[in-house]
Amino acid sequence: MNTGSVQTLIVLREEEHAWLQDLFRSRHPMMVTLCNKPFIEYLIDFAILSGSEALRIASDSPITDLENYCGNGSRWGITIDYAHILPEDDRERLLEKNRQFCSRGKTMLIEKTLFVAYDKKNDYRLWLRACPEGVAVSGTSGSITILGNKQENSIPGPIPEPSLPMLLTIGEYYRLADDTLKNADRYILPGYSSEPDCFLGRNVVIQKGAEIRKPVMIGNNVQISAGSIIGPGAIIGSNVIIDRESVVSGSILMDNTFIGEQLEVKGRIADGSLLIDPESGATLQMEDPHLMSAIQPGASTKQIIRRIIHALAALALLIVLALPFLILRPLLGLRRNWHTKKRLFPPGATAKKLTIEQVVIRPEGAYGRLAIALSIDRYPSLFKVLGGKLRLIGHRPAVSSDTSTISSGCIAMNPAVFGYAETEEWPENERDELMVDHYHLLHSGSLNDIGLLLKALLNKKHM
Amino acid sequence: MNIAESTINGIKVLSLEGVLNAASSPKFKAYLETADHSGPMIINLEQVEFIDSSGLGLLVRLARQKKSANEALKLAKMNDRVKRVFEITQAHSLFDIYDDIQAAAGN
Repeated sequence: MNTGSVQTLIVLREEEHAWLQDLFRSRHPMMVTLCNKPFIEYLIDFAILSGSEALRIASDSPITDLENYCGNGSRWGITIDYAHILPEDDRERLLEKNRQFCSRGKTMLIEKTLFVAYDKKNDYRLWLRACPEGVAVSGTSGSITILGNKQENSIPGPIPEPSLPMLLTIGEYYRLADDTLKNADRYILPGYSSEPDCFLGRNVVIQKGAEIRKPVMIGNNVQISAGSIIGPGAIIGSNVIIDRESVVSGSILMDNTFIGEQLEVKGRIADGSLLIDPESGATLQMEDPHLMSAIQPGASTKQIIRRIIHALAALALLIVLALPFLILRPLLGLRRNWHTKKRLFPPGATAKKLTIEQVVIRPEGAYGRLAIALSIDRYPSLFKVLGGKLRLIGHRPAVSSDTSTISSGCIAMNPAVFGYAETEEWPENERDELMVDHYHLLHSGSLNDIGLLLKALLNKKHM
Repeated sequence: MNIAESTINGIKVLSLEGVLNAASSPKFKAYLETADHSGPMIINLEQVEFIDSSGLGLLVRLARQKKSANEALKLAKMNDRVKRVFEITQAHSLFDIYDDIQAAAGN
């Protein structure tokens, strides 16, 4: 074993921090911000202050957004990589699966922890050197365990110790954010600070007549209109607009939030259109988009080109299949072999829903088999591709289920007439189909889509 | 795609090298079908340059076969490119993934 280096292994399990996941569904709990900085960054900071040269994030659930944010760690001058574990893996199995990483030297294992309270002025390398093997810090909000070589006895002077504040409810989150803002000199926080207790991000526009009261933290791309009062104790995220004559104090506004005019937000957390009372945990979904709503990004050029190509290909199919449809549709109707099923997409989501109608034809008789072979069941849906409501090929929700397992990656795009999964022979169940859909969603371009469409049309399994 | 077979601790280790896609998957599938591959197995993915949905499908099928036979299938030394595909497709939740072959073999 190489005893020279130090590395940190952060373990993330989906069942942990469920309270945070329930509130901020659109992001991984580690990507939820505290004083405009994702939780994961506090752990990275602490790993660096402890002298770690490498950091691994081992998770039992998808962490794509976390990976996209942290990358390989070059931003922090530390090597970050990622590993997968299963929910049932115990500590022993976890360490077995990461044996190569842990064998490099002393390992700091951070579990169940969102946040480590540190002081950037301290040198935690001393603390780590002095820690014996075993649990170094433990609390209801997680633990830090040291694995590897034994402690060094001759460390002079006081040794700084980190702590794990209680963080199990939205009320504790709110108080921790307030405490972090008030003790900002302990942490590495984002924004420009020319005076104590005041942090400003890039591109902050404060109109005449607006008042800023410390302590306050304002993120990037924030517009504060005339007559507004911000603070004290306000943490404003990035891409936030506060319209005229509104008051925000003792509150946290998460990224992409719009506060309408003449509103008073005191002692609350606002995330897009969601308003949370941190003390009671009560939430309120704002319906009126003029009061408070998330700022939605527009469609990219690539998406527009893709939509056009899908529409042109759908038009071609509509022309080619027009005659077979006009002949087969009445015949199938007469034989009662034309059934439609309406459903909402995405299921269970709070976002704008789309009603999709799927046709089911049983492969009975010559007409039924011919209609399926020619994809006549998809013909009515092709019109929706022309209108941009459906994609021609992409994620096709299964007719037989409510697709309750559908993941955010597929929800991000409109459902499709033909499924990527129909291009493959191997998918046996809906989960397999989602795997293929996810793969092509990330790898396929506009022209690939046409190739995959032909493959789906010709696939024997589909027929 | 090249397939090298070895044994650690009595566990068969298949080391794949190259591309595991729609073109090469049949070769791997034929290899699995021609010989007796019962018992626990480790697949070393360190030298796999690329894997597509067909290659992934083959591994998923193999995992199902092993599971139904109550035998372990472990994946080891996944490189970043392969890992990315497993993440995107969320297939990682179906496999035991190790960063070390010896650890996967229980050494």
